[in-house]
Amino acid sequence: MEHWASVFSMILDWKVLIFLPLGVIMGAIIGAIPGLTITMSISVLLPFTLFLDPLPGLVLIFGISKGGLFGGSISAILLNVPGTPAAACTMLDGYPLARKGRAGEALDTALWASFLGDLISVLALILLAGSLAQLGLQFGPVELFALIVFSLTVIAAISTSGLLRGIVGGLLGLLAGTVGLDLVYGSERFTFGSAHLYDGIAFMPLLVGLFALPDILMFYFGRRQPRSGAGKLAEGASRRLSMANFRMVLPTILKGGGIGVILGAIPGIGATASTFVAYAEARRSAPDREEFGKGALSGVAAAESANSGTGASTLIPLLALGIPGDIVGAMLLGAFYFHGLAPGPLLFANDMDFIHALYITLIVSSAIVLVVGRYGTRYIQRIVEVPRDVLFPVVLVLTVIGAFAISNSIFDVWVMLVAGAVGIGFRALRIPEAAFLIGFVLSPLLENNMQRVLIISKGDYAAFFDSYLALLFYAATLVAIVGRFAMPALKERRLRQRTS
Amino acid sequence: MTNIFNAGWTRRSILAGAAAIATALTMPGQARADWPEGNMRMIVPYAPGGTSDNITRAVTPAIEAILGRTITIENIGGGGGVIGVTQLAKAEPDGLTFGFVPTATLVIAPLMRKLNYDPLTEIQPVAKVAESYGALAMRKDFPADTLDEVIAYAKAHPGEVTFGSAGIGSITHLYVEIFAASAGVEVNHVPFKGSSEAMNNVLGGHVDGQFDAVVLRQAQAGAVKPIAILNDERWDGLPDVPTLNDLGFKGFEDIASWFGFIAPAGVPEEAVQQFSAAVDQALKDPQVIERLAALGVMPKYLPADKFGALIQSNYKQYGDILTPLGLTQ
Repeated sequence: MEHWASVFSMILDWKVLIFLPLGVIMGAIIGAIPGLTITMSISVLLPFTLFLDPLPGLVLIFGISKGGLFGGSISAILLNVPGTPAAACTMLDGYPLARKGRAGEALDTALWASFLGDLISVLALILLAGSLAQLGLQFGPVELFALIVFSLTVIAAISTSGLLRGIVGGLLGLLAGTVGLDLVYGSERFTFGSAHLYDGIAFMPLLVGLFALPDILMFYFGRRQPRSGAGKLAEGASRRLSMANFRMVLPTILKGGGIGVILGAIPGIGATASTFVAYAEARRSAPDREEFGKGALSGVAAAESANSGTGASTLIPLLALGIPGDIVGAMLLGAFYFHGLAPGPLLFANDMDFIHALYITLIVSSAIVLVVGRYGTRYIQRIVEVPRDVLFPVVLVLTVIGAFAISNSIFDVWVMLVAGAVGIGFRALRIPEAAFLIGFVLSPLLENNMQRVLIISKGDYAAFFDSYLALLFYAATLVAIVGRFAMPALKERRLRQRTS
Repeated sequence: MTNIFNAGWTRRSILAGAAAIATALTMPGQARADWPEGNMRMIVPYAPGGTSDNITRAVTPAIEAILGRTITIENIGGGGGVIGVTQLAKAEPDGLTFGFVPTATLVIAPLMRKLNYDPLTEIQPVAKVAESYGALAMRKDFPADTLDEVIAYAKAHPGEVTFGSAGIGSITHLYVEIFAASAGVEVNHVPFKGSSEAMNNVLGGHVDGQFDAVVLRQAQAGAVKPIAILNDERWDGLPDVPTLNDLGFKGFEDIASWFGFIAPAGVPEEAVQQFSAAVDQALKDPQVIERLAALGVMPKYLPADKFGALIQSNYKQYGDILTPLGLTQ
C-alpha cells in the first residue's frame, strides 16, 4: 500500500502532468518537420531535464521520442518527405495512398499502428523485460547476418515493375551502402578523397532527394498537371479509416509491433532497419500484400507499428542490462546516472517505486499519442488542400534546410540534389526506389556482420550455419524465395484447372 | 601517491612539453596578444547527443559564467569528427572560435588517413578536460579469471581469444593491440560499431572480452568478469579490481583516452591562458563534477602546454602501434 502511495505521489507531480502531454506534442511537431530530428531535440533539452526530478525529466524525453515516431509519418504520408529516418518505410505505401486520395485513411492507420505498436512495446517492457533482454543477447554476428539476408527478400515483394528491376535497385542500394570507411581496415571506399563521405552517404538527404525531389521537379519540368487545387489528395483527406479496414490491418499491426519489440531489444539494429525487417515479414501474411509498395494500408500499418514497437523496447537492454540500444538510450543512461539510478538488475531491486511510476507514465503517454494524433492530424492534414504551386516551393525550401541542418553541411545539400537526379533516372528506367532504399539501409548490417563472422571463425564459412536462430532465418528466406516463384505458377495452374 | 599525471610522465613527454613552451616563448610576435571581446563559437565535430557533445554541454555553462562570455555550441558532424576539426583548423585565429575533441580526431585519425589539417602545427591545444575510465573484462564463462591466466590462455590458444572494440582505429581497438604487443600474445580483434554493440556481444558470449569503460557497470552487476583497470587509479565502484600498474603490466602508461578544448594555431596567448584557467576552475564546480561522473568520465585538467605535450607523445606512441598493423597512411 505504501509502495503504491509513493508511486502515485511521483506521478501526480504537476511537472509530470504537464510534461507528459507537452513532450508528445513537441515530439509530434518536431517529428513532422524534416530536418529536425528527435535525437537533436532531446540532446538540447537534456541538460534542462537534469535539473528536474528523475521522473518529470524522463517523461519529457520519452514523450518527445514517442510523439516524434508518430509525427515522422505525417510528412512521409502527405509530402513523401519522411520527418524522421524511422518513417522512411511508412512513405513507401503512405504516399501512394495519399495520391490515390486516401491520405486520411493512411494517417488513421499510421496513428492506430503507432499507438498499438507503442502499447505492445510498453507491455513487453513491463512483462517480459528480463527474457527479451536475454533473447536480444542471442543475436550475435551470425544471427544478425541471417536475419538481414531474410529481410532482403522483401525487395522481391515490393518490386512492382518486375523482379529484375527490383534486384538491380536492391544491388545498387547495397553498393551505395558500402561508401565510407571500411569496418575492418578503416580504408576509404568510394569517398573520392572527401572526408564528408567517411561515415557513408548521409541517410536523410539521400532519402529526401530520392523520393521527394523527383515529384517536385517533374511537377515543374515534366508534363504539367493541373496547377490549381490539389486534386485527389484533398478529396480523400477527410475520409477516415473504416472499421472493416481497421480489422483488416489489425493483425499486421500486432505482428509489426511484436517484431519491432524483439528487434528493438537488440542493440545495434536501430529503429529504421528494424522497420524494414518488420515490413518484410508483415507482407507475407497481409491480406492486401499484392498492393505493397503501391499503396497498401497494411504496409503503413507494418511500418508504423514496427517503428513504434521499437520505442519502449529499446529501453529493455537499457533498464535490464544497462546497455543503451541507440543514441537516445545512451543519453538516457547519462540521465539515469545523474540522478543516482543505475540501470541494470540492481535498479529493479532498489528502486521499484520509480520503475512502477515509469511504467504507468509510459502507458499514459501511449494514450496521449492517440489523443494528440486524433485531433492533431485533422488540422495538419489540411496541408494537402494547399495548391501544389504554393506547397512545393515551401517543401523544396524545407528539404534543403533539412538536408543542411542535420550536420550543418552544404555537402549534404549536394547529396540530396544528386540523389534527386538519381531518383528521376530510376523513375525513367522504372527501377523501384524502395528496393534501392532497402538495400542501402541493410547493406552495412549485412556486410559488417558477415565480416565479423569470418573474423571470429578465421575464415571458416561453416560458421554461418552454426546457430539454430540463423538456420531458422535461412529457412524463412528459402520459403520466401520459393513462394515468390511458386505462387504465381500455382495460381496459374489453378486458373487453368478452373477454366478447363 | 601515483596518479595519472606523474606516473606517466616520461622523459620524452617532459622534453616535448619543454619544447612546446620554448616555441611559445620564442614566437610571441606571431600570436596576437589581446583577446577581442565578444561571444564565442564552440565547434563540436559530432552530431548532438554523443559523448563529446554531452561533455561540452556539461562544462560550457560554468565556463560562460567565469568568462562572462556567451559560448554557442555548433555541432559540425560527419567524417568521424574530421570535418569539424578541419573547419576549426581553418577558422580565423581570433580567439573567438574554439573546439572540443576526443583523442580519436586529433591523434588517431591523422595517423590513419591523409587529412586537411596537421594536428601538431595547425592546432593550439587549450586544456585537457576529462579522461575516460577503462577496464578489461572477459565474458562470464571465459576459462581464466586473472590477468596472468588470460595471458596464459591466449598463449596456449594463439589467435583464438576474441576482443570486441568500438571500431577500427578507436581507442578501444588500440587497447587490444597494445595488450597483445605488451603481453606478447596473438589475439583476434573484432570491430563493432560502438562500445554498446561490442558489450552486447561479450554479454551474449559471441566474443570473449573487451577493453572499454562500458564493462565497468556490467562487472559491477556481475555480468562480466573484471580483470584489470587500465587507468592508474582503481575505480571506486570496484575497489577490489587491480590496476594494470598494480599487476606490474607495462604498456598502458599515458594512453587513457581524453577529451579537451583546442583552438586554431595562432590564437592570442591571452585567450588560451584565460580560457584554460576558466576550464580549471569550472572542473572544480561540484555540479560539473557530478555531471561528468554521470557521463562516465573523470575530470582531469591539464593546461595548454602539458596538454600539447601529451598530444605529441600520444601521436608518437599510437604511430608505433598502428604502423606495424598496416593502418597508418
